[in-house]
Amino acid sequence: MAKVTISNDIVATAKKELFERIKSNINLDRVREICADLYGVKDIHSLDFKNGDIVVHDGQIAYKIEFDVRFAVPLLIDEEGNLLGAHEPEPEAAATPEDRVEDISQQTSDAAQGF
Amino acid sequence: MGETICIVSHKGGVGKTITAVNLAAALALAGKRTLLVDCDPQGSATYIAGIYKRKFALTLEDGLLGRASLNRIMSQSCVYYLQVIPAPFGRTHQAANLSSAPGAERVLKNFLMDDSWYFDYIILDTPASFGMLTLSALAAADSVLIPTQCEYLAYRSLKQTMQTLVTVKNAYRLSLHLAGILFTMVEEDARLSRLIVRSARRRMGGRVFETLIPRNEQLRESPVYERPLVVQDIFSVGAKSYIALAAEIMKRRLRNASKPNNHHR
Repeated sequence: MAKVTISNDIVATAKKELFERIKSNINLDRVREICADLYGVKDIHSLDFKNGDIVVHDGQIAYKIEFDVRFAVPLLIDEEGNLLGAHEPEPEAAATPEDRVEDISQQTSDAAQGF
Repeated sequence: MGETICIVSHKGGVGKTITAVNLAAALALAGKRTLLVDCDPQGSATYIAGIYKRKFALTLEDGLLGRASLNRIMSQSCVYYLQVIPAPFGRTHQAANLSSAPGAERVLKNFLMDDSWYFDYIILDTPASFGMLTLSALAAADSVLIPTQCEYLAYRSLKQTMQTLVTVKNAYRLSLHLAGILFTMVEEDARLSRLIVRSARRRMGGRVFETLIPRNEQLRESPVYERPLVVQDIFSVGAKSYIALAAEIMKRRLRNASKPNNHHR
């Protein structure tokens, strides 16, 4: 039986090329959705491919991909560094037509004071 | 002494000229000696007032350049008490050149001065731009009436018009008062129209005319007949609204006249 030896470099290069191809086919928007669903991470600043590996999942070959996910976590702390909680920005109130019209009326009224 | 009202707005298509002509005609129908001065080189007010087809040799331009007196230039309209100064049709270059001279903004005021005593009301129709002719009209006026289409974008531009007018008033030291804001093309069934009118009245009170000019097919068509709608069909909804506006203006003037030191407010 003949024994074939493959250089580790060749394996590494082939693996790298494989993951480059997989990476280019990944739908990053879907990854963001998964981050939000599984981990509750919503405001993602950047999403970078970190590394990948070939694994067996349920008897099938699969590719395990790891991402570097950067997101800001605003926390509230006191002067001594004790965590007070997470700062959640208040949702912006959507301006209603009534608000907008009222704003214009007020600004016009202010301008009319010049008469 | 009469009152000179300048119809002015930053925005085109808000019903300035229709307002100027129908208001002037309604005041004249009420027996007020009225002069309509068409300061817009497009000459739409001249056209709607029904004197466009006549051969008039002299226009506002001749008056501004000192070539003719008001008496020689004004033309009798289809309404007995309404006289019209025709527009300087397309010949604005010379009038615009006047702006280089110091005090040139008073040229229309000076032109009207000698004979203005005769009129109860002088209505000045202006172009949409704030050029020399509009500035002259503002300088000649006692008050400004700002027509505003009753829809969101037009209402937004009202603030800008107001700010510009105040800036001009202060820069040229004009004794100009706000006659009022007039909502035009009002659709009383439309929620936004109602919202705008209600809000404007709440914030600006008496600065907004009680009279609303409705969106009206006859008003839109009236220029075709080369006469004001108040003459063409006095019983139409549009004509009635301008007659109501004229009545409101006359009533305000009476009220103001009885308040010394509170002129036009």
